Amino acid sequence: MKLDYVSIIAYILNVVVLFFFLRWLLYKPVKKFIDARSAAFDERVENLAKQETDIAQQKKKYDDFIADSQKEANKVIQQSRENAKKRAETIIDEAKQSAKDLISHTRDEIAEERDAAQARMREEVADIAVGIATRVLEREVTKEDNDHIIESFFKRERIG
Amino acid sequence: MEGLIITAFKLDDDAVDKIEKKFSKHINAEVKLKQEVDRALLGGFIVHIRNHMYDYSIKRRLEDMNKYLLSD
Repeated sequence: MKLDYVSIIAYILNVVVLFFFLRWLLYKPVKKFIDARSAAFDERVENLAKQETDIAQQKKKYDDFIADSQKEANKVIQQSRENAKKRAETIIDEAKQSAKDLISHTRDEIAEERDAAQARMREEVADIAVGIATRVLEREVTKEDNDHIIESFFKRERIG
Repeated sequence: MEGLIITAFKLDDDAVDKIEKKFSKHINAEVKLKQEVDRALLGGFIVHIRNHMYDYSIKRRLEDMNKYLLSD
């Protein structure tokens, strides 16, 4: 086969001319397009990075808020426990005092009852003794005994 | 001055006279006593003169005994 060097050179020149022509025709718009896309992409990346930063900040704020709330809640729980403990101690002390007062009051009542019973018993004993003495004397005192009583009156120095 | 003597047993006049004399001396005035009998006195007598009462009865002594037994 015989090579046509002129055609080959023509083809090569054609390709080169085409290359430079297309380059001249398309290079700038394509570059512009590619640059625009690249810029948009970069902007998106930048926005994403910014969003990530915001999210991280928000998360930190949220975590801090949660931590503070937890601390506050623990404080409230602790305070409530202490208040409840104090209240329980107060209730117990009041109950003890009430029991003490009740015992003291009951003792006083018992002592009063005992004294009243003793007084009643003394009255009954006295009534019985006087009653018996009265019945005996009703039966036994004679006119002669009465005369002795009158005589003893006469022996008194004074009346009174 | 008139008075009243209440006795458990009827007293004879001598006894009443002696009582009248004793009371007359006590109040510096002549006393005449009217007699009544009340067996409730058990023995002794009570004399009422001038709104005063002089109680020498056994019943009164029993009341005193009762008070004494009830005292502290």
